[in-house]
Amino acid sequence: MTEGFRTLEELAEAYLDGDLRRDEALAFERELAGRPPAAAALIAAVALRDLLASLPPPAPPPGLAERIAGSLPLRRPRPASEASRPSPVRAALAGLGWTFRGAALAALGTAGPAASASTGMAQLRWALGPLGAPPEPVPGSRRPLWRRALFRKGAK
Amino acid sequence: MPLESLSEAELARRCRRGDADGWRELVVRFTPLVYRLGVRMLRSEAEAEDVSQEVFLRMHRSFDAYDSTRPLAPWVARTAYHACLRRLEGAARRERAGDPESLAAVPDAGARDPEQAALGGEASTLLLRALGDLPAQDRALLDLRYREGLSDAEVSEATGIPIGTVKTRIFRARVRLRGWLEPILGRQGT
Repeated sequence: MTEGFRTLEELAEAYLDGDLRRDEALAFERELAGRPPAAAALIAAVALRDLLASLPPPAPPPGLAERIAGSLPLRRPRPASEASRPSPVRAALAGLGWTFRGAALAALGTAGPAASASTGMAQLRWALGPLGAPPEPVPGSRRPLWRRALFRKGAK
Repeated sequence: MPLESLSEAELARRCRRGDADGWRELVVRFTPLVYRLGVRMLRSEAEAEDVSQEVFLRMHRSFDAYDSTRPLAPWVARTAYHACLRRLEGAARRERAGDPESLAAVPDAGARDPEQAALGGEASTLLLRALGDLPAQDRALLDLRYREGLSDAEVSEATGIPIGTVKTRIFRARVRLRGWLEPILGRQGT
């Protein structure tokens, strides 16, 4: 029965931990009834555990937790003066606006270069200005400006 | 809901969001555990205060690594346990190198334990003296198991020591303590 546990003290500790097999535990309980040293070992094991658990804990000095919390880099609530700054959500939406404008310009570009200098300038102003509806093409010749410049009537 | 009554899971969620009140509550709730472990492993109240500060700073920096489905106490205990071990190793290294300042950091084996100073009871005093003669790691294991009330599995999680080794070391430490405290334990049991 005492295989692996050399002394009664070790057996008693293993018994309290529930580390004995069923047959070992039953044999130890029989020993408890018949052998005073086994009972004494068990009582001492229980007493040690009680003693360990009953030691009063050392209390932290007053104010230690507050000092520690004060030293952590915690976020402070935002003062009212900062409340008007753009929030991360607004900044992200503005970024999306620019992305949309980039895509819209690319779509306009698929129809070919700006039909005229005034259309091109209007597109540029829209791209750089506040968000709004894209500019309507300025009515004029359907021929692109570069074609008109290169192939003017009468030019050779 | 008052912060004191927050569950650990809710407290962890608040801390993960960087909520300042949540962090204050975490510090208030767990400073006693960290400080106690520091006193018992380092055997110095000043060192225990320093290590408490270090532990919460480390936790603040690495809170994303915490698994919020697990209880907080073993995670806090693990951070504290390893911080104490690092200090003990650093002090031992400096002592080997002959650094005179290290002598102040290494607890004097003959010095009175800060806990002993606060206790008058014969049994408690003898037990603390006997605990002081154990290696710091064994003291921490017994402490987490019997005084902080963690299970063997939680002690294993807190220290990173396999559960089988935790059980064996606690077992051997108890047997050593019993050898030293034989007369007292006989009386306690009667």
